[in-house]
Amino acid sequence: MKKMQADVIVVAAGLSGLAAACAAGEGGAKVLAFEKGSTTGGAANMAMGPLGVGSRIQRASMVAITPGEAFRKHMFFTHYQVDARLVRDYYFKSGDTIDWLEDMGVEFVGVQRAFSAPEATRPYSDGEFTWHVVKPEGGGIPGPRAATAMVKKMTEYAKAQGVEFQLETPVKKLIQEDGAVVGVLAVDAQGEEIEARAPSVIIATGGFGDNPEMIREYTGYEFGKTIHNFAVPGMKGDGMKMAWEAGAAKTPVIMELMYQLPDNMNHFYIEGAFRQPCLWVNRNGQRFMPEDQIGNTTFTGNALSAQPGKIGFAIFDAKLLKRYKKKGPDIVSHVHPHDLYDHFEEQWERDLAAGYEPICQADTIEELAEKAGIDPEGLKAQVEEYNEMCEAGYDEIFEKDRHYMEPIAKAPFYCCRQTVGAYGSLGGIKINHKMEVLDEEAHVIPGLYAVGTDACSIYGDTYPFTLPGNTMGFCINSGRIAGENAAAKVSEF
Amino acid sequence: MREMLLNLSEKQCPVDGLLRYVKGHRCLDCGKCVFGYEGAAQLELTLTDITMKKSRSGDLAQLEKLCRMMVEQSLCGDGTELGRTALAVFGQYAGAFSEHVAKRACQAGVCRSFVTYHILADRCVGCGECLDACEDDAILGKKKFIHVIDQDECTQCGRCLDTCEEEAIVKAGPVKPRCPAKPIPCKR
Amino acid sequence: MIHLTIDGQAVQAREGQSLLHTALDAGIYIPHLCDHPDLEAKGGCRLCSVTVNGGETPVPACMTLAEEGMTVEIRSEAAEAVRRTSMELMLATHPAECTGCPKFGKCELQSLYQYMGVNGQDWRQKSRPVPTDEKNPLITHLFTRCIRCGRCIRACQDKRGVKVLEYVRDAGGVHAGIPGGKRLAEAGCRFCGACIEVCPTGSIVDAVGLMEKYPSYADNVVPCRAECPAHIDIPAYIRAVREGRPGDAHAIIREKVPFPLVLGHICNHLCETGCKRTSLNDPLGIRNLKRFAVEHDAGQAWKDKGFHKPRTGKRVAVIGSGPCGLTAAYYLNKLGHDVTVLEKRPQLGGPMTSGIPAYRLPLEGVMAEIQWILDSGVKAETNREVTSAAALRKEYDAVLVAVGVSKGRKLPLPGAEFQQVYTAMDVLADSRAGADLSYLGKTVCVIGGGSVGYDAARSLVRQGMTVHLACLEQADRILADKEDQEEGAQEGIHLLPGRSFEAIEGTPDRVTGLRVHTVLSSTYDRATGKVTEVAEEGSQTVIPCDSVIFATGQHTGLSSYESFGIELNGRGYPAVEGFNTSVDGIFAAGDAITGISFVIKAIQQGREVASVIDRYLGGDGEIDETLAERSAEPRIGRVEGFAALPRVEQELRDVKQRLSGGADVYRTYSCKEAECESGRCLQCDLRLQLQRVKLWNEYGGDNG
Repeated sequence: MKKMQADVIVVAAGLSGLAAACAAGEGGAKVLAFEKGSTTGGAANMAMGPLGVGSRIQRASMVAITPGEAFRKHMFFTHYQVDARLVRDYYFKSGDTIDWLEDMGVEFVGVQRAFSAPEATRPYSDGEFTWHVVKPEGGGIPGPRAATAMVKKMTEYAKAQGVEFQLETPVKKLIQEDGAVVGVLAVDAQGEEIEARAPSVIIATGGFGDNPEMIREYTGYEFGKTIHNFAVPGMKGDGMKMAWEAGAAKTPVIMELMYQLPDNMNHFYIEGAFRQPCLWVNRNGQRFMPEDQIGNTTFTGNALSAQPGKIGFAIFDAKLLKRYKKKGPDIVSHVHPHDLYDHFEEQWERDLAAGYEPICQADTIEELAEKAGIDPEGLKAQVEEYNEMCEAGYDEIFEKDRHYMEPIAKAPFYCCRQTVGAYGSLGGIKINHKMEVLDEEAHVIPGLYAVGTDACSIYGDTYPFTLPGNTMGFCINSGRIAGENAAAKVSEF
Repeated sequence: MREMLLNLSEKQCPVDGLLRYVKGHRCLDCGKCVFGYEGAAQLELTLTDITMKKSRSGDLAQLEKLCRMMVEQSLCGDGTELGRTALAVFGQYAGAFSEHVAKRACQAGVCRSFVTYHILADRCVGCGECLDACEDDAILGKKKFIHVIDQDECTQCGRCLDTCEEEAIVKAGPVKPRCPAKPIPCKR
Repeated sequence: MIHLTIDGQAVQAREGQSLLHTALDAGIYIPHLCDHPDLEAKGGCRLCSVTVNGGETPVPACMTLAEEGMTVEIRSEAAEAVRRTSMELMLATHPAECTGCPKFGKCELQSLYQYMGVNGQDWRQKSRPVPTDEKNPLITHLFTRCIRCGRCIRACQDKRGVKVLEYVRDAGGVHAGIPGGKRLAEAGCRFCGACIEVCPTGSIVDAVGLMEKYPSYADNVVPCRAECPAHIDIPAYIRAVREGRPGDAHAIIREKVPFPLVLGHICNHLCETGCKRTSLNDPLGIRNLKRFAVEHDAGQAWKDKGFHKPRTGKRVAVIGSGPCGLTAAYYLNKLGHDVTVLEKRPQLGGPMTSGIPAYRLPLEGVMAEIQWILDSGVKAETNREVTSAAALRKEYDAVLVAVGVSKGRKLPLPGAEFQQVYTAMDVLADSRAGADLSYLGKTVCVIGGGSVGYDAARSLVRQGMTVHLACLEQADRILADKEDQEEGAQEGIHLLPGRSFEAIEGTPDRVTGLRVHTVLSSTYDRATGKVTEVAEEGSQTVIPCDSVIFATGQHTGLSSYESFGIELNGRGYPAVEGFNTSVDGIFAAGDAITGISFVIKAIQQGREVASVIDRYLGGDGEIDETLAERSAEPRIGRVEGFAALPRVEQELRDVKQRLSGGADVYRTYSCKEAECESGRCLQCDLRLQLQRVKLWNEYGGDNG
């Protein structure tokens, strides 16, 4: 058994852990960061950028939202069911954190909102300009993975602050003495145990997206059946289990919903092609939301989750497909390229032949319903009603944007089953606004902090897309606050 | 093949010609080096977009830069040759390439996406022959009405062209004939 | 040595070394992807582009040899442009969706784009899907994630010479794959895993769940070695057998255990449960190969090797001479201590010489292995029963209690105290000692269907007795292993499963039968030790017999000594923490603390406690030794039909032969059979020879 000693131990070096390590190192603490993987950054390597409110960039772009306003919006969105003090401290830190990152050398292309909703629905569905998207090195268009540039800068900054990374060395257990957490037990790649001690331990392991049992137990979803979430390897809920074992109180855990096809890596064009405001119905053949909102992946994930079997179906006809091919999609996402219809048919034919389960094609609505597993009578009636409304140019039911009212009339008909997805889990470990972990009696467990998605229970039941960049925003700011507090403790000694 | 590419007739489009050359190139079957394989793949994708009227402003400069790297950095002569050939075609037919990108036109009339079909109002007799020929239902109108092609629906297949005995249907490049927006009663 | 400058830093290179490895060796990071330290450089990815001597055209550092006086620039504008473009081109067609990738967090490509901060969005994006293939054993293919670096192909073609993987082109474009869409097995794959090891992305990975069982990477790669309680280097000795070096194989086994032959006969071979070949067809016959190696070691070269530490003058007493006690004694002696083994029976060996029957474990083999331990300097006293460990502690610097579980346990049935009622332990000891067993009569009834019950029953069948073996378990739940059941049935044991025992009939000096009834089902509650049964009505019968033998559990026997001097727990076992008993300097190990277990487990206990005692006596506790040098040829080549090679079993002697002689039941492998069987090994350990590519964040702070 190897022994190590530090002022602050960070458990997992994803974005939250990196932020904690940077801040603690900056504060003069000797920091040890343990990471399961061989790279740092965790899920942030797939992301584009964090939330910030009141940053230099926003002021320069004339985005006027203040931390106080963001706080009010957040609390309105969550109906004041979450820890207001924690939310407040997070937003008031967030602008400065963007500046902090810039000073580290991170560059941003600017500040964006997540979705842009049709004009008429904007007050109910649009987001603020809080999403700071990271600029790829050497310029270029940002896209998925853009935030890796930030991860690299943070990793280098952490190293410059003297942070020591232990890669491929997962933490297995917290060491607790007289109720206080005083260190961790870890195992390196050779299987050797490490006992590391420090007065502060910061848990930042990123939830349990890769743990089907915990997903079932805590959220009720069946991984691979009723949910197809990101399962970033290693996100097994380690930190949550360790903290709970050490006496931490549990908070409700939610899945950070969106929607996604199974095995979407191999059916990328199909997934993108159906993310359009065509006709969306549930298993009974009935529409369940104004389709002009399906660009809002959070709303749509929630809506799908509320349908029978937690599924929906997107349907378009030959005429609509032709229009998409010619004019491009009605809704463009960050993920799916706008030219995807150029490759649609090739993939569609191949996937049909291979029997890719979510999709089907038919020459009549009845046949389509049979193949897809939708109630044929229900779908037939719904299509008739919908087509009449298209003819009239007005959606009497949901007042869907009339621009998207295109009938489903010309065979062949195309259908794709839509399933709930998620970016991962949110919440689990109860913390206060200093990111200190609390027990069932709301007493601080000395020496233990939790940050990032392991402890992110400030969203209530739904990701607050109205303030986009929020997952990374909470990760980086909670990490930074915990790192600062843990470092401050060192100088008190 | 390369010789042919550099000696095209007026009826041949260099963008289309180069695209065909790339599609049949060995580099796409190999995969052993990034600049050969991925370079050829980007050439194919970008040239396809150019012929499909989907080019972006920086495409030509980007392809030129890419091809120079292909010449320099490919693992074997195949990639080098592909890069050189493409650069030669770019150089020789710079006008045609920039026309495709900047003016959205194909002088040779080869790239279908740049061609539109129109029914000349002064020739159409409203016979309805072309209506039946159009598989995309892109031709609007009825008997004794001047037919109109719905450009949103038209796929530029050209089938209607031969069905019209009055020779009322014409192909057009950048300069379009004036036609009615909706079917109107026939004067003839 | 060649002297050159890389990024202004003076470095040295070996003759023939590439610029890339010159830089990496000097701790200077240059991004690279298609290069792998164990494979020939090809220069396909160009991520390692550098400019040399102020030249304008970047060259791949992996393909450029270091020359005297060279000036190399890694971050020149031209080199950076090539590197960035290459990375962007790769990412433009690589799936954007990394979150479902099994390599996330350990992916070289991910680390590279993190380092370079580019993402490929400036180029045309194209998805090139290839269906995920999880149908091959052990290896999962997700070629949608293939980056065409060719490392797996070079590993398979050149490094291994197996030649299964190739560049293939299909609807998903060009990627690594198996030509003709064959399954790995039919293509001739040897499942060595080199492709997995060198794949920089999540394109070729271990099948789900394979890498999660053990804490270390190496253990997950080589599960047989991880499963073995003593962690014998199994792939290495199997390799030695295959290459016709049984002496080396024996030596390798000896590195971890002093009873190779015993284990070759009777080990419960947990290693085989870990064997990855089970996913193809059947596990390797690892135990049988062990026996073969030991029996064919003519030179015994291992005897001249290994450590012998200077004498310390410290004295250690070991109580009990079973596998645990003798193993501990062996290593403690090698560590320099004076060791005396105290055995209550007339002969050394514990269950090896007084429990396990001769038909399973020939005596000569055991005695030879014990003799070596004595020859190496361990002193032994037989017929020496120790009644107080505490008293012994006064004479010795340390005492080890390794008394095992040698006392049989009887069920509390009416009549259990009759003279003609015995325990299997007593009968087996007599049988092994060659004593006259006619006192048991002509017909015996054995109670208990575990391996001890079968040992007793099969021993007595060999004496010409009529043997009933009755047990509570139903026929499909019998505890003894399948071989025992099948071979026992062939030998004429009369099995009575699903029986509950009521009483032993007869008088104190004469047993007439065992009264039983049939149970339809029974459940055993581990926590309380209680059995609940559903009896069949009217099924009560008496099995006529002359004696009854209990094979229903064993214990240490220590609880009967009031004055043994160490604390015992409620079950009559020494109370221990680690191996320490309640008395300083008295240790306990083996079955005496774990309860009845297997020989290999007892040996491992002996090794561990030897280390602990050595440290207690002031040593370093180090007992690892190398008795044979390892050499493993990485180029394993093709073997036609490799995946389907059937497991070779040892020949089972026919029943008549088995019942007449005392010889063991199985014939050892012939040389041909051993060669065949060892040739089935996947050589999982070869993978560990391949180096891991260091990522940018593992280099010093000054990298970008």
